[in-house]
Amino acid sequence: MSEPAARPADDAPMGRVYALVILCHATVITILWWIGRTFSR
Amino acid sequence: MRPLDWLVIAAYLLWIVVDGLKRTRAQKGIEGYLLANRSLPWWAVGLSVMATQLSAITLVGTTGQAYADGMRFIQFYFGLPFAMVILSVTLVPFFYRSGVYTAYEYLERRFDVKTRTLASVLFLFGRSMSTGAIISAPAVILSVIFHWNLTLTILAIGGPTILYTVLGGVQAVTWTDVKQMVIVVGGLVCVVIALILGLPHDVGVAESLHVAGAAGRMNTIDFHFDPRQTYTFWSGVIGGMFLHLSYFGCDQSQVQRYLTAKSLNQARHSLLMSAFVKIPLQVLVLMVGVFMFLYYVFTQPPMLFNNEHRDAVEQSARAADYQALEGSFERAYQDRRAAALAMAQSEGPARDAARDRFRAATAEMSAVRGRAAALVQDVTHAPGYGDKTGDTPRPDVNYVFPTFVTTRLPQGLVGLIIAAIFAAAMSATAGELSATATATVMDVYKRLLRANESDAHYLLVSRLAVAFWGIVACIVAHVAVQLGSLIEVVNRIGSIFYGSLLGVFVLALAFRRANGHGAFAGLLSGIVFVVIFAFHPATRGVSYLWHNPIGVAVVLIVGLTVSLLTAPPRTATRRT
Repeated sequence: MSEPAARPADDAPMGRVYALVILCHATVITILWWIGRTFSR
Repeated sequence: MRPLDWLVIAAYLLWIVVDGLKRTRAQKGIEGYLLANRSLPWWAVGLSVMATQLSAITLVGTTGQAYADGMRFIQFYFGLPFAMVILSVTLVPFFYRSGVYTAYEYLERRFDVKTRTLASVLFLFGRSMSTGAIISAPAVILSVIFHWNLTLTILAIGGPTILYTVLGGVQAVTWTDVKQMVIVVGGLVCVVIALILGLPHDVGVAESLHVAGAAGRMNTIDFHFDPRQTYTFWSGVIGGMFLHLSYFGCDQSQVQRYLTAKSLNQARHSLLMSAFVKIPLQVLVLMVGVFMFLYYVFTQPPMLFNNEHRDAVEQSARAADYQALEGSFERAYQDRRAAALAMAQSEGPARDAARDRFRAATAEMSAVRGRAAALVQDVTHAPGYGDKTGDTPRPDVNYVFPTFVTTRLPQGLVGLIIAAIFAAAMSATAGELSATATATVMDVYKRLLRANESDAHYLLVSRLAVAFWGIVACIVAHVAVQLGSLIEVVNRIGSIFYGSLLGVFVLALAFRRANGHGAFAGLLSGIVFVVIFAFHPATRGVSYLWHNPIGVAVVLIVGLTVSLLTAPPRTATRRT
């Protein structure tokens, strides 16, 4: 049985960071939409 | 300008230039000069990435745009976080691991030398144009403040920038960018505080934002799908994502930034920093414009912000016409101020009635301003006064922020903001010069002309290339200021090339069957198609953000068709 290929030391998995980026972005867009809706009435 | 302002400006410029020159000692070879020996920490690279994008144009053009048209410009950045994630997964590892100096080197490895050369030449042409626009922004400010000759002002900004970039290389560029970001953000925060303190004591921030909203300045998101609207949610997410994919993935001025990082993950982190910070930072910039609008709701603004043009009309035979318009403008302003105060201090139907009066007076002010703009155009023949950004004549937009800074801010803060604008332009320009020099030396000079020279020879040629592109940028800067809102000029120029450049990288990464002939034909077709699309009367009105996905589509269609009609690349033949 062979070992799985090791990732290079400088190439750590970043899936959670990417998910956090998208989540924060969605939150920012929602806040901006709310600000626009609230103050443009 | 008072002595303290001059002192702040002098101290800051001295600090930046001396620090840039100190980096000269670290330049031992070509890799140190162009890539800082791949040794920089992610946070410095991340700040440099943002500083390269956030130039003086951001301070002058974007604040003016928010003053005239509100917050809608923020949608331009909605595709940026998606682009950063996609790039961190795809192109960044490719570039970093392959040890390239330029993004276009990868195209030769994948396709052939002619595709690399064409991509690099397109980058050089597009960047030299937009670097000119970057220099011209602070030149506008200084020429307004001091009534200096525009050409001499451009040279005053370009000269020192060329000097410290020639000597300091990418190290000087990066560390200068770090300082620039601190000063720019600090300066913007100070301006917002000064603007809020400048509101009438009986008008709160929330009430004032309702007033801004009544004039359409708080329209942040527009979900309508209309290709002729420049900034909508869809043009921002789709068009903006393609633009930012191309800008951060295929534009050497950004690729070079993250190639200087210590490791692959540090390169990724430097890009993801923008994904988190860029939109809040742009909100801060745009809020300066919105609060400037509010400031001029309660304090009378000039009818036109451009002093030179105003003076020219007042000294012409049409001076009496202009004075009559000034009277109409002042009456409309007084009506609007009274309506705004009533709106901020009332509730229910009284507030609705005040809002209607406020909107009517705002429309009247805009109409009078339009007639004044027509008068300016008649007398001075200055271009662009027939067009508007929001409700403001387009050429006037760039003069709003500098006029406010120099006439309304307290002593010391004026100097800080002017210094920040100056340094922002110099640092962004320096980054562009470093990138264009790298592409010139690595993709053209070393690859096509002189392949086997010494490290010292290429270092010398790199320095000469920085100087050459600096001079070209100064020449372009002279005409860029005449073209309208500066931020749009830069983005419009970029969008003609960016989509097609991105298309050829997508072709390289996603389609194994694509070959050099296909990539070259696709890239050429994409550029030609987008240029025709951008200037043809039938499609000229389509927002420039859509030029990016269109460019990608044309490159892919033509590139794949030509590839299928010609021999497959060697690697594809082996694998199939």
